[in-house]
Amino acid sequence: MDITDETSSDAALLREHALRWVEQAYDDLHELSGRAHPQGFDPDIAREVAAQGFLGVMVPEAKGGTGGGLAEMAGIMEAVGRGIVAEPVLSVGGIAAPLLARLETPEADAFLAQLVAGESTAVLAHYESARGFDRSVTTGARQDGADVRLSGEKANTLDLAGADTLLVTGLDANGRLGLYRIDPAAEGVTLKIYRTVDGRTTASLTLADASAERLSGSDDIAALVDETLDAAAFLVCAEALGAMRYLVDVTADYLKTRKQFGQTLDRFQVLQHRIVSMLLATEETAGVVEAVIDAKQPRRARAIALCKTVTARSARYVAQQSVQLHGGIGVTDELKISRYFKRLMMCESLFGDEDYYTARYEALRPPA
Amino acid sequence: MDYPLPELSAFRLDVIRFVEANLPADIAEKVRLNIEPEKSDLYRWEQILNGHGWFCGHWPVHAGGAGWSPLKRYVFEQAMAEAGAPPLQPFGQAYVGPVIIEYGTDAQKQRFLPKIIDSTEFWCQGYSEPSAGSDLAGLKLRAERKGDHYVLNGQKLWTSYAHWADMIFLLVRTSQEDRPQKGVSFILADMHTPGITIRPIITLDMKHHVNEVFFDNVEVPVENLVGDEGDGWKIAKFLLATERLIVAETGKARRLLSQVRTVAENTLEAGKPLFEQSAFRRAFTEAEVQLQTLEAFCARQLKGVAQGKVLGFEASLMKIRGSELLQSITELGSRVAARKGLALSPEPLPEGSNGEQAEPTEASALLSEYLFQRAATIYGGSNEIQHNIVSKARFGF
Ligand SMILES: Cc1cc2nc3c(=O)[nH]c(=O)nc-3n(C[C@H](O)[C@H](O)[C@H](O)COP(=O)(O)OP(=O)(O)OC[C@H]3O[C@@H](n4cnc5c(N)ncnc54)[C@H](O)[C@@H]3O)c2cc1C
Repeated sequence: MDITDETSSDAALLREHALRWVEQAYDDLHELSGRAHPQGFDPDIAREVAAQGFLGVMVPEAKGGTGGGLAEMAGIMEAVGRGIVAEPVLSVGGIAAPLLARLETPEADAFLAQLVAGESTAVLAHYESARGFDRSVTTGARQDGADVRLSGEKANTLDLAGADTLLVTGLDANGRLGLYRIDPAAEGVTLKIYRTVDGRTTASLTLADASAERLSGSDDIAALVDETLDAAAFLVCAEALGAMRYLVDVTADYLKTRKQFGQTLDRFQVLQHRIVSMLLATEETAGVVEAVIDAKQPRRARAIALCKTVTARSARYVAQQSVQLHGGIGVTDELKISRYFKRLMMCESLFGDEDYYTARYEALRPPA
Repeated sequence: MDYPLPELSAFRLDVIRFVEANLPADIAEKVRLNIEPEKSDLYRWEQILNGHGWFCGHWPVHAGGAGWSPLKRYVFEQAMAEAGAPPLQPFGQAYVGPVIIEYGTDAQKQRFLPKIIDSTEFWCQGYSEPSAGSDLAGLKLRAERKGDHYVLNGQKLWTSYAHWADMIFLLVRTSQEDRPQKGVSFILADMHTPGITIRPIITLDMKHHVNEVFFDNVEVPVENLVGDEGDGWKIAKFLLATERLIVAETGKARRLLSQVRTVAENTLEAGKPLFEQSAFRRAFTEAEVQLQTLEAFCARQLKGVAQGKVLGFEASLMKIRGSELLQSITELGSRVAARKGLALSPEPLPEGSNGEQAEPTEASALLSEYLFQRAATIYGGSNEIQHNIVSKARFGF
């Protein structure tokens, strides 16, 4: 990477700012407070997070953001992982806001400012229950005079339960993919809410002729949605990297302090080797994350597929071994290790797991 | 799936049919959805088994059991688990029961064994302490003799189901000796004695399995000492040897694997069942291979026991593979659950929300089991410790 490059130094500054904020201001009480809220995060803290400017990083300055890209957002997400921040930074700042900004329609621009300011949240519901990690959709948009109505089944989606606005993809009569805005309280909208493994929430969405407002223009936005989901998958890898780095640091410290058989655990060679394997997995992840930032289109999609494949594998390994090396204390909810373990499970599979991205990496192989 | 012990396959089918016919539906549903059964559920089921002569079947006939061989007991327990019965809590029937039968006085046998068999007294195991994890000899809980009582002071940690228990069997320090293994005694205490305090510990599956137990001047009558003072380590080794026969939960693995299959068949990926997807199917088949390998390995070891062989380091090998297998099967389950957003439990609906109450699912049951199984390579001697045991016992390293 060219260190004199202006954007990359901006990215480094943002990353440092975000890491410092997490270190100093985002304590355990912040992290756990979402458990008491039905949406899985505390709305007051979500506004605090927004005030840090994390949500507008990928929005152009002309639209109220700071005009960064994936490199800048990756630094923020690494901090999110480092502190296992529960508020919807990715859902809003990494997905909804940049997607809306790129639609270039007055309807989308109209509420972008509120999102960036943290005054309201919007979450993209794209994946469908019958499709798993596959990105194609069957949700249909029907023109009803001046209105549009949507019907379909959207799969469990992170943070959807706490969204003021649902951003839903659907196909119109001509088979073109569009983005629609739906009020969660509207008739024909049913959300089923679950606690996720890491204490946030996910909700499935059933739409039965629900009233919607079209946000995208008349063009098909399939390519844009595809890029958005790739970006989301990548940002989750940056998040995982932050969590993995934390676990490696904390586990190494623990091995140096815990005593059994009259010596500290760091004296046992099998554990020395294990933590080195954890470090290796983490550093490999750092490598593939950086490679995505360096990759230019059209190679970026394949770089992301590689990145998510490697990150999923590494996240699982580092999470499992951190718990193992802590022994009994590692499986308690009270010790943060288990909560990082669970966040890394989310990172491993959000927007597609190792299998999905290995297949995608293969499918995107350039012709020989 | 084939079963490796043809001579016991009729018995295995009997057990499976018995469970199907007699396990109360509400308990079966809890097992299926991995909802923690109540103590009364376990008692209900144990009493049904006891009515059929199948609870404590591995105890000798003179102690009220059926005198099953280790092989028959293995087949019984695995068949029960495979058929979806809740796991029998080991602390009474599998752990302290055989210890009392072997080392107890007649008075201890009369006092404790009947209440284990008829499920009226619940036991827990108090070995581990903050300083005594992998290195059990680091235990510090003091028992001082004062007249016809021992007075206990100290702390136990990770005590499973202490919150249900009426009795606890403990390793305590009765004297300071040159070697830490000496001076350890095995004693039985009533959990309702004044001075015992229990603090729950929630594990990463968000359930309450384990506890901290504090002892503050707890008086235990001397007649509750098992064996002599200083026999604790020997008795603990005896218990370990009996415990070893049931370390590999192949029956539970069968049930979980079949549950993985069910949820993968009912979960669609790009419109087709996930079970049809080649990468997933390959991983599933691999887990099945591991399971059948472990069954074959266990069958071979237990047949050896039937011919008089004493299991040593082989039990550690069974524990290593058994725990790894449950972890890999439930990890596969978590891959299905990942397609449902890693939903762990339904969230009660917020007031006035435009929602519908979600139901617990089999996918989240597997997910929760995956979380708990992370402990399987830690408790009962971690897998690192098992490797140490084998390298020492087998190769003299
Ligand atoms: C769910 C659960 C239920 C339990 N139930 C009970 C119960 O009912 N009663 C009871 O008495 N105890 C119980 N335990 C305690 C259990 O037996 C201990 O957790 C276990 O012995 C490990 O001890 P520790 O947790 O202190 O880990 P530590 O001993 O601190 O180990 C930490 C890490 O270091 C490794 N390590 C330690 N020593 C060595 C070595 N020499 N070489 C290489 N690696 C090493 C371990 O493998 C582990 O990875 C339970 C534990 C759990 C998690």
